[in-house]
Amino acid sequence: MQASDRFNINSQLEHLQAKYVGTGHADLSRFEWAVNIQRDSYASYIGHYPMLAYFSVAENESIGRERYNFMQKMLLPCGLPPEREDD
Amino acid sequence: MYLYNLTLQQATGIVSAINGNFSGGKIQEIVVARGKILSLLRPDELGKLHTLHSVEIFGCIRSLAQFRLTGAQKDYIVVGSDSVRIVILEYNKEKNVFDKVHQETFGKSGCRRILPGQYLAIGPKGRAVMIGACEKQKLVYVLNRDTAARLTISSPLEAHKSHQDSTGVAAGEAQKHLTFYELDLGLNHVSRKWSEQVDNGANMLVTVPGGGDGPSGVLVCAENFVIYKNQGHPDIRTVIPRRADLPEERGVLIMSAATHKQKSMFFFLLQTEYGDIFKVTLEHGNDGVTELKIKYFDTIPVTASMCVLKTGFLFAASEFGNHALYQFQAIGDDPDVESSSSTLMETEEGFQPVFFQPRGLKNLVRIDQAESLMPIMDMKIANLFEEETPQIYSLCGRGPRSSLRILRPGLAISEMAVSQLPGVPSAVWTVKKNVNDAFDAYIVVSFANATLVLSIGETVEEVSDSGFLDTTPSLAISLIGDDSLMQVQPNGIRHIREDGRINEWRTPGKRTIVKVGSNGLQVVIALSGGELIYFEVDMTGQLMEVEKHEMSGDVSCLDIAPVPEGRQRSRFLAVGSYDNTIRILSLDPDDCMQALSVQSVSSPPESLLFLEVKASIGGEDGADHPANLFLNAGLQNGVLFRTVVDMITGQLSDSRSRFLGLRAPKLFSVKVRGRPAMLCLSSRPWLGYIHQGHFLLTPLSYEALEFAASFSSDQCAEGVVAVSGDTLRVFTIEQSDKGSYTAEEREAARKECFEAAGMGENGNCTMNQMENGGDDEDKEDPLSDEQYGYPKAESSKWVSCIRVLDPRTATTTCLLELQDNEAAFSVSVCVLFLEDGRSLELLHKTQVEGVPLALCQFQGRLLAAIGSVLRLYDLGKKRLLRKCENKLFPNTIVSIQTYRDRIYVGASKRRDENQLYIFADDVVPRWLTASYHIDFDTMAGADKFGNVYFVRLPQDVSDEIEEDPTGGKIKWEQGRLNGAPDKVEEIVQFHVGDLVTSLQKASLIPGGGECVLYGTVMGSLGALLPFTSRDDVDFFSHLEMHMRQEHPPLCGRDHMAYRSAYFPVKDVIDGDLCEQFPALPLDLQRKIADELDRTPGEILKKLEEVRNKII
Repeated sequence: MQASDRFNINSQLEHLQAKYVGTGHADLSRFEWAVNIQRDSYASYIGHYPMLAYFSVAENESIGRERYNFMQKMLLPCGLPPEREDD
Repeated sequence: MYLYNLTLQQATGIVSAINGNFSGGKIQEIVVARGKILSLLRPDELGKLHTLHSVEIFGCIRSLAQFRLTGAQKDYIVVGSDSVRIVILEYNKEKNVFDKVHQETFGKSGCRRILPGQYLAIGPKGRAVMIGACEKQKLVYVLNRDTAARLTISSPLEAHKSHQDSTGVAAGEAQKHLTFYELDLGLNHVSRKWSEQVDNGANMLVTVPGGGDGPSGVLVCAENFVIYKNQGHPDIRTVIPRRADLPEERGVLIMSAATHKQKSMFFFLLQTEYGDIFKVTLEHGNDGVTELKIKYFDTIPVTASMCVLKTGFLFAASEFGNHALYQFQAIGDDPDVESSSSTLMETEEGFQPVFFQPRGLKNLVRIDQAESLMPIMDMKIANLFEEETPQIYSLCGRGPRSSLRILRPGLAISEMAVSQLPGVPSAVWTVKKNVNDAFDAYIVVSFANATLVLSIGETVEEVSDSGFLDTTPSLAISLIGDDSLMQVQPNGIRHIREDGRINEWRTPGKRTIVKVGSNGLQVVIALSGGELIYFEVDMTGQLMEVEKHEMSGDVSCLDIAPVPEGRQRSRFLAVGSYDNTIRILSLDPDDCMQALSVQSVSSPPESLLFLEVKASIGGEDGADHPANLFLNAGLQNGVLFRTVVDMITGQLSDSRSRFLGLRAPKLFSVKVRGRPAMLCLSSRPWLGYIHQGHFLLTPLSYEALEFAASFSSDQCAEGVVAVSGDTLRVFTIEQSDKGSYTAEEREAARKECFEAAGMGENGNCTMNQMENGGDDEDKEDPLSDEQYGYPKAESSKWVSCIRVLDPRTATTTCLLELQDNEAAFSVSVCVLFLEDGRSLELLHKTQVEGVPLALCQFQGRLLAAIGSVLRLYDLGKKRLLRKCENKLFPNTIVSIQTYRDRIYVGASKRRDENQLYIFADDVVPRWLTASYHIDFDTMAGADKFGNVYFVRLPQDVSDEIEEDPTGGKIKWEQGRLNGAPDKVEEIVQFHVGDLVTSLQKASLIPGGGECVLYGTVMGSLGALLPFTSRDDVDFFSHLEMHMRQEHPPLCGRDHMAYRSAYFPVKDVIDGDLCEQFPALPLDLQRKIADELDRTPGEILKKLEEVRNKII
């Protein structure tokens, strides 16, 4: 495989990752992976109304409030990222 | 094992509702999405809600929007679902269906965060629609029309904005933005026109009318605030008034909004999460908006969507509990608590809110409600009333609006009058004075030795001038010819002409009349001994004897087919004999009394009825179908026998029978929604009618009746008068004007509501319910909690009680309130705890270290699941005594069931079986919401993603464990895959598409097979019926396959993909899809039938048969 090809594949991958949020890659950190999973989960809860209703019964909130809470949590589902170790 | 999935009651909760003129013209209609069901509702002038059409789309509807092209008369519906297709629907008034106008794919399927479908926005003039995802993606479609005025749709234009943030620095200081997009039709491009920061609590946008109607711009609803924003306009901000008793740390969030726009003014109604509605008005002039006012309007239960109709109604689709239709009494012009942008006060602690107290309804008045079972928290099927069929006891709703509802299969009826009669009547008829009269003139009741005539007017009273002979019992009363009346009594026929002249015909010798059949122009009587005498009404209105015929034996019943339109007479007479036969005789002059066909039946027929079905070409009747004549016979063994009569030759074909009850069914013809229907009175009443082209037989939720007749007066156009015991009853059948109530929602019907805000327990049925928050100290509050909700408490506070109910009297026999922030999470009927069966006594409390989520009786002891520990307790004097325990479960245990010496445990992530040594578990981790033990080796379970599955222990493992003297101890010590040594096999897998909260195995009809019933959060009930023959499995899998190909779901979701959303569907055939077969066009029906080597009629019969096995 030539060097230019590899560059090409990499750039294609980068393009795909930019286009499809949540696509993993080889250098994905544990934190990024968890964030993606959590965001996907919250989006799924928001999309599936029966699930939203189930949570809202358990938490004694209205369905709308529950949706709002989940939406807010999508921003930082796992808290702030850990400090990067530059090595 | 193969299962057939059938929804018994469609979901009743509402996800989203929109209003508009979907059928064209001026009629206001509402389209509601109920999760996987789309229905069209129409409120009539009186404010009663009718469901016109309801269709399952096999997908998950997330958003709805309506739009109208400029100058058009009709609104289109845009649906955002999990199909990743934009679907535009149009309601077809003629066929009563939703037609798919456009369906454009934009991605791979699923309910995922970057797939558009969550949000929909329509351009102000209906020129474009934007469909957005939770994250990043937004697509714009341009809507236009072609030269033939058909709607066209462009290819999508992207309006994405990418915001990758891997460091999280930006997330920490993230700011929400409000962005205006502009569609440039010339460049065919969407541009971000203007973007500005907004409050981070923003959760909803409401469009402000622009152009000539208003200042344009948007209202941004945020936590505690409503902000008016527009490009190049300063923000106008108002704080939302707060309830005085609301804890300070709680915000106020707007949940739903509705806009009302008239020529001269517009206003918005915004509802908060506590149920308070505010009216928002804007003061605006040439220099933009100057003031934003929020005024308290009224309080109604929290809604998912509100629709203001132009006819002065407000449709409130409640989040939980019944939906309601309100009428506007006023539009909130009276002074009330008001918050305005001009008086906004900012202090050091932030903006100062205005406080108010909720009050009774002032501007709205509720006029109708639509039942909603959402959410069904638990359900038990039991026959506590000792009726023929078991009842379904379900706990519905939550908090102050929760109730215990008893559901019976059947159509709802509403009773109009019950009156006592002097004796026990044997029969009842109603009769008109003239064919052209709209209403009946008399009700005639026959007793053993007398006849009572009641005239119908303002009131119903006895009369003696009717001409009927009242000293003898009657066999039949009817209108004959155009305007004369006929009374048939055992000794003769009395013919009463319009002018009062009476003609009598007497029976020859000592013979008496035993049976009569008539249709208004023809009369046939059967004398004792088996002689038939046929009369016809001639041109002058005289009743003339035409023919005599001697039968071989006594006649058990008779009926004449109705006279076909434009004919002089009907050709068919059906005669039932005690030798178990039904004969069709001809009444034509040239072959009068010739037998046309003979049908032998299993037992002597007791009652016969011809039911004529007129040809239909769709419309509100449903599907198109040809005209048909059915002969129905009620047999002495309780079976209803139905067969098709060839309209020309009189040959009988395509016979079906169904067991209705313990008594021979008596058949009566009635009208329901102007169409002929049949009332069958066995040990319970049934109604047979045509719905969407196929015949349905459905029980009525009413007591057993003896005799019935249709009834029509100006108070009640389509009623039924019936006798039962010594009472005369008048009632109407509620069904059929609610299209969907007929076929799909049979289960709904009658309910009894109890306020069961706690735990109910009765005999063999256990129910529990939790209620979080809510301090119920303010009992003196005059406002009902049902309407206003409980005050919010801290999330760590609990209020809970245990209630024992007697469902017969709907009273609470025992109420145990739990003290000190305790909550009941689980309850078990353990003989140890029950006192005298009617009340409970607190024996003692045992402190445990975690929340016990499941309790169960096991060999006279108590099994408790405390967190992830399973422990066996015995009853001690002061407390429970620990006997043994197992701490090896990986997650919290949520359910336990026992059978013989096995314990079946449902953990919230893993399902295991346990003998205090876990000997088998499942390989798939699950979030279990319900489980039910099916047999010794099989469990059914449901998870929170909406899947139902069955797992079974392999036979060899089961045998091995039974023979193992150590009960699996040695094997357990070896272990496998971090779990139990043996794994269970998944034998059934199905995605219901709704969160199943309860499962139970039960048989809903006497003698019917057992099926697994499930109740869901959205308030629907369904059944899984195991197939008993391989042929049926083959037939239905092929039918399902063809239906998938020929009739893909309405909103573009692939049916197979939907039913396999989380796990591939296994061995379940979707009856809901198969039951859409009768709704297909005739040629498509024939095509599918040909592929299956059957006729469409045979397929309909199969569908009917399998449904009859369940309900």
